[in-house]
Amino acid sequence: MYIHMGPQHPVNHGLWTLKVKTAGELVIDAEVLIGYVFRMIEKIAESRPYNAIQPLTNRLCYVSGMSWEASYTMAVEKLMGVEVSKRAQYIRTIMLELQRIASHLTWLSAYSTDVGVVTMLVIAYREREYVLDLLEHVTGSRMMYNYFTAGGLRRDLPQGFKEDCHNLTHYLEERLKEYKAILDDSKVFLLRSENVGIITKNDALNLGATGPVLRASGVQADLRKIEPYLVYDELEFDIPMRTSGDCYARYEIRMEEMFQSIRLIRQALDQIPLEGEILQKPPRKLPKGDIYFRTEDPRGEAAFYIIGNDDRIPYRVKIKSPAYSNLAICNYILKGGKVADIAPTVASIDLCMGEIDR
Amino acid sequence: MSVAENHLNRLKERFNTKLSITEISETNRIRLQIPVEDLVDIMQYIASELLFTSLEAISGVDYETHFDVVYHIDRWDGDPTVLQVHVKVNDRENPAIPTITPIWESANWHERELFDLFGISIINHPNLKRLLLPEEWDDYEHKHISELHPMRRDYHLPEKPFSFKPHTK
Repeated sequence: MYIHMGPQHPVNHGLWTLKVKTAGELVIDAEVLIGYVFRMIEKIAESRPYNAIQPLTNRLCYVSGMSWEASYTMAVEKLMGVEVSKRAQYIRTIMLELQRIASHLTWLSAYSTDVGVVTMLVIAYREREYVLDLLEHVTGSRMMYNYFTAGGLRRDLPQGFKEDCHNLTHYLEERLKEYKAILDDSKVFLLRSENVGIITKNDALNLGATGPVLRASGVQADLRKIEPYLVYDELEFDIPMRTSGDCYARYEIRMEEMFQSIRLIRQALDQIPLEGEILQKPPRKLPKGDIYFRTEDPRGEAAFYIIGNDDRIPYRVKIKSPAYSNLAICNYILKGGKVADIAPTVASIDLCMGEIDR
Repeated sequence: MSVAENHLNRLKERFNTKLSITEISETNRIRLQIPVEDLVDIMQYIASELLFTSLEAISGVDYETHFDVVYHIDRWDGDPTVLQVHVKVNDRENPAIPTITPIWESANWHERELFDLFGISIINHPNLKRLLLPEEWDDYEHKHISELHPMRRDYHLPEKPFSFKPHTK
């Protein structure tokens, strides 16, 4: 029997279709169809100045716009050879880690709802709301921030940000511990996550998995450690790693990452220099040459391959999306599993159709 | 000798005459230019001998005289080296490159995207269909042949795309 899940289906968060071939309860074959929100951002980027592309990169992912604009802005800066002041770099790091927490909380509410713990839907969204409030206080927007710009940041931190941020980290830490306890004690949650959707280490590498999916399969890989950007080499943090490669491991990794983000934010708040230029004037033109710049998005390796042509308009902008790589492995994981396992498996790889279709 | 230089020297030893551009930029990006005929051989060597375990992206670039296909390959064991392999496709009428899906499975979708948006055919690809555009895109009515593969440079975006004009009576 064939089952079509999508383009509108509670299992897939976003618009895409999963075609499943089943024999009884077993999944024999699966195919993923995408392209429902294809906006040709790469093509539009070939027709406008480099600073006018940055608002578009916000719209790549609706739950972590900040990390995409950071990735694009830093790629452009590296191509132009612009060095940002230490203060701006610290603020950027804090913003990125707050965004990582907000993104993982969104994932947590979606995932736990899919596996049957519907209570977490509202709880996790409430905590995300506090993070977004803080981001709104700084940037003026809740989703499409437009805060990073080539040469620095659009504005400095508001008054009292340091205290607010410190309070938020303490609040979140307490709450996250509670939620971890709730979920780890939930029998439904464990039954539907443990030993479900297993992917082995070699498969994960060969199929191109990145981010938490790769780390859950036993590869301790994080670009913040491998190739440090911003001030990540001055801060202390650990990279969580699990070897079982199932949905529960992916959940544990993301939970652990939120605690690590809190640790990073506290250190950055303490070490942030008081003096430093927030915004410096960037050059008008992108020089001739190309750059492949990668950052650690909440979902994995997000990269931009930008070719400059001594012009304001870039010649080519290629977006490498981590969710695209992770969705491509989806049909390999589903094959041989049960139909009921589709929901937790798909939810555990954290999809965002905006950046997959681009 | 840095790690990246070590990788580059091993590549040079093996495929000396075939690499036309070899340089290291920003200490850990290795740029290579290789001919289409030796693509599979060199990629096989990179995967099995140099142990670059994952292919991250395949980007097409249209230079109007030729196509450039760029492969970004990296590894996750703590070594920050990224291989940037350029392949030049000169035939603009029937561009084609061999598939590398037997080496890295992750190439599957990237190659389909290349076929979809640039019209570069992939030889021996297991499932060569359009990925982002609809599968029946070729059957639609197109004003210009370039609309079949919109990432080519001869496809221009309309001045005001999709603007809504209300009916006036």
